[in-house]
Amino acid sequence: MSQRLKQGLLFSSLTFFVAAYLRAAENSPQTVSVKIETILASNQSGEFDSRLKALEKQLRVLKYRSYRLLNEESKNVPSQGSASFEIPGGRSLIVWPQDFRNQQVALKVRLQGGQKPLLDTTIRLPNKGNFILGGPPHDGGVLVLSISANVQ
Amino acid sequence: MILLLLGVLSGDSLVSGFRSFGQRNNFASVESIDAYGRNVALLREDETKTTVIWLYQNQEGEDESTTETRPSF
Repeated sequence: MSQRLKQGLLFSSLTFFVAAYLRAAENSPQTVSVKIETILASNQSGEFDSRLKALEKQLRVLKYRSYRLLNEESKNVPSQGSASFEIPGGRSLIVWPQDFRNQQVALKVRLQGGQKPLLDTTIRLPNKGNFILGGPPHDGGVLVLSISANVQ
Repeated sequence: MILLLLGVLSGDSLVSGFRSFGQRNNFASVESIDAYGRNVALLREDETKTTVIWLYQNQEGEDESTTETRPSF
């Protein structure tokens, strides 16, 4: 076997194992930190809760007059695990991390009203990104949930 | 020969991984959605890179869109 062929085989083997390792490591996040911010949006006043400053531009898209943070909760969810968050009005939000690739994390999310499912979605977020889930009526306004994920 | 082929393929997947890393956008993308027969809207707003899922639901939790739950996107 020529020296050149040996070098080629060695390079190929190394590339294969490095690629396999990196792919396996990225597809299986150890823990996903999921944060739910529960916000009451309404048209009853012009109040904007200062604790929501980081979300202000995103919330203004919805064009309600007032936004108030009702609750903020973070949980570390193991891959292949799930976490349940209590949402006002007897609702709950269940989150299952699915996979992690290309710096994006896929989450399966279920909003429940009591035991009844209201909405199921699978969404792919940029790592440390968020999305907004809104609409359920509450206390003269509507609930707006900011759901963010951070793979650690 | 097999190892050589595997190496080439793996290298290609690494390169495509880097390529897709460069191309990924900052939007959240919805892969599936099921509102169990209720009305639902999906909004993507460019300036803030915001993805919104809006569930239309009345006070009783049944299928209906009321003025209060309808945002003016």
